[in-house]
Amino acid sequence: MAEFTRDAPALDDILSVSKVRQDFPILQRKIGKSPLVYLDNGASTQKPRAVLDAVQRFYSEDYANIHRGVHTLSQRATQRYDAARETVAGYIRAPATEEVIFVRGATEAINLVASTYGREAVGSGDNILLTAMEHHANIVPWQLLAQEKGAEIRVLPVDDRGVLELDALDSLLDERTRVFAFTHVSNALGTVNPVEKLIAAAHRRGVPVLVDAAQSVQHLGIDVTALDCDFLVFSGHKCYGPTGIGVLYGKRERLSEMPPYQGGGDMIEHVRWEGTTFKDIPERFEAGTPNIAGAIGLAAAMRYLEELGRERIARYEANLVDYANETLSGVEGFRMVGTAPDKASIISFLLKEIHPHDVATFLDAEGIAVRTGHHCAEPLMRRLGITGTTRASLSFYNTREEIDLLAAALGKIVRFFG
Amino acid sequence: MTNPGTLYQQIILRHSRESPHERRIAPPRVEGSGNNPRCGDVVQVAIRVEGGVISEAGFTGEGCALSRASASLLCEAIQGQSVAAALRLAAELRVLLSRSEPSTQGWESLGRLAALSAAADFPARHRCVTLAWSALEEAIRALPSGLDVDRQ
Repeated sequence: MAEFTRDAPALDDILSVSKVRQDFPILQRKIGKSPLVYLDNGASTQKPRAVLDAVQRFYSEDYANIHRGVHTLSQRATQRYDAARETVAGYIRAPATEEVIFVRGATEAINLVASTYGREAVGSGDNILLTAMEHHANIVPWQLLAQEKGAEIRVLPVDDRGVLELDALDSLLDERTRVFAFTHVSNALGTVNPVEKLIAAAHRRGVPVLVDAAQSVQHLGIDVTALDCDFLVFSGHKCYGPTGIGVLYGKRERLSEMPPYQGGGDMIEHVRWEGTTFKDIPERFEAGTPNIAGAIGLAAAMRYLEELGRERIARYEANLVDYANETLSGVEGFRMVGTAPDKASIISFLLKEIHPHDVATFLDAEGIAVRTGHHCAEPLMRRLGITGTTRASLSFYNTREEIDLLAAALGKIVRFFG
Repeated sequence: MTNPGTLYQQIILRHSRESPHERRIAPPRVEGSGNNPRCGDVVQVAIRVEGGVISEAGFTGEGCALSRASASLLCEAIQGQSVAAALRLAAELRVLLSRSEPSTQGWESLGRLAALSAAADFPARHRCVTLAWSALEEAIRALPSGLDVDRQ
């Protein structure tokens, strides 16, 4: 992460944020009388015109169902859908396009792996390793599987800063560990986990790894080839794409061995009453008509991000987070939750004894959108001894001025509650 | 957007900070809890019922200023009331909160509970207000049947 100093290069030297903001129509709107200050990017990001236009153009010009038609539009739609898969594969540096499976989102991707790979690989007495900072989406599917199979859920602990305790890793991973599933970036605290180290430790034991990249793909960029992870999941709507589309990346040798997830059209080779044969990947895991426009919108988002440059995005956001940390720390009663040395664009905090819900209502009145509560990470909140936080999550379209507005509003709230 | 200052009147702030009703009730009592999965807040309400009348009420738990104030005002309002009247009050409060066009009309009869009327303008916060009332309803459902209670 870049060091922040007051005389650091102007952010505009990294990325022209005023120009970037023009790309996002919603950023021009007001909430009541205040301009929108959108700091809820961890929950979902806003959409650039490139994405909106791509979806609109597809429905206006090329739309039809895919894979089944001989007519022109069906062929065009199929081409567009296949091209979207290629774009996404390129964005995450997947060795092969068919290793990208389109799903509804990260949640469905994890459920897919748990109920196909997991159901075959995990048996009674086996264990599944998670971390103490997982989102519920990376806990509950594994819990359901463990209950069904009589397997054990193990948890790699975090320290008070919100950093994984790597020393415990070797004793938790053993010959009965069937999968190690962990988040790349904590959605609740922003901690960036040492993903390479975690993967290497698991692989030394022959344990396959699932990386939840829902909070990292939009900030840090992803290279699944370099990571060498077995599975990686993310949601389109958190990386500037539409809702209802997400990605499961899996190594070809893993995916090829997995049984189907859902049965239906598009995933079969032949259906006979005596039995059905299934298509190869990726279609095998995409039963029914997929979210075609969603995939096309997601591809447009990835192209947009590539154009901005993932390195520039990471640099701009790191700089902005440092500015936010410094500025917000100056607010009376501000207490950061999660003080890992390596953090992505998430700032989770408490303000004196004021409940996060009360904070958020006041912020909303000034047009500032944040998220409050346990951030779907109840076990983590419990570990930290709190019920929830207020979370500001940043994007490359946020500005230092917006951080200043947040800081000023927090100061007012502290004075109000006295 | 309504100014949140109207939502956090002095009476709300006072009840949320230091409530005389935030306490455990000695048995015999019945308890119920309300929780808000969106924020993880939990409020427990305990009541003692004697001859169909709520003789004591108290709350415990973790919550925002609104949910705490609502719990405290609830305890204040139902003490000395019949169980049936307390249930009617809970129902009335829900109706008033969820009216499509919020106004202070209808709240006058609720006495100090009217301080919660501003919450009607903040739909995202309705659950904060009703948390304790759900707990009360659960507590009433937990009353042993055959007790001399007018259950309606």
